[in-house]
Amino acid sequence: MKSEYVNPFVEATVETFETMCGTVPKRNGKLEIKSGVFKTDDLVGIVGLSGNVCGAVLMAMSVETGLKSVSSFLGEEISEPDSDLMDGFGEILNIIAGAAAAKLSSFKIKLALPTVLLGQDQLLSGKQISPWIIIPMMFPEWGSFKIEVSMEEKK
Amino acid sequence: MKVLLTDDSTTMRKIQKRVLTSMGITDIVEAGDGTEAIKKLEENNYDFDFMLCDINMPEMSGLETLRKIRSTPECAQLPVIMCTSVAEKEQVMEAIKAGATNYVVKPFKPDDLQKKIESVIKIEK
Repeated sequence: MKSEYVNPFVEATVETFETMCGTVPKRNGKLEIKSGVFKTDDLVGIVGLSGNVCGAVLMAMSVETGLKSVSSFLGEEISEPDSDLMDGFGEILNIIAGAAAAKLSSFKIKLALPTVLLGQDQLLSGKQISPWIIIPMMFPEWGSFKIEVSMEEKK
Repeated sequence: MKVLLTDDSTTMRKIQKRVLTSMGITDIVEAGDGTEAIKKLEENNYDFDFMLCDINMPEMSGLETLRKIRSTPECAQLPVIMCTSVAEKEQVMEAIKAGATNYVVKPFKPDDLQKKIESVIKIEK
């Protein structure tokens, strides 16, 4: 995956949270590239990317950070993990993926429907040929989260 | 004023409902995908003032739903605002070609959605 594909996902993430949740997340440290099996956070959303690319975008955060961000998105307090948390989290990621896809319009990216997973000690696997680029990010008030992208151009 | 709100995301429907309610629109029928939306149209004798419809949905997508609506004489003229998370020209053009009255791009602020709804209501008046 080329590094120039990273910025559209960062911009889309910032725009989505700023517009829909009223907060402006910032980059939080250096990018990491991971393959093999590695640990991710407890709340994970994933959207498959197809079209002229093959890959996926993933958003991962703690349940506590997820509850705060989805409460803000929804405009009402969610205090326990429930269907609103899972649905809202997936919808936020869907919007981020759509906004990033529009910025990468030359690839004519198509989005799969979001899938959200909740559980402790979840592991993610990435192939050496198509590793995950991990983009650490931070909300000013709710803690850290990650956007993770694995994307290759179809030949 | 009666509205058909179609989105597979329950949270997005709640957000849109809040905007509609703030505009004084409280007669809102909800559907979770295109198939359900068509069923709700039939059940309500096509008696809606406008429809908000997501594009990326399971079962029947928003574009398929819109094409089905435009080919059904009883609701061919129903104003439909499409909601898309992919602000790509091609998808927006496809929605307009399929007969969308207007469209709103996610992420949106409540004001953005309200303006789109107002423009449709204005045309209807």
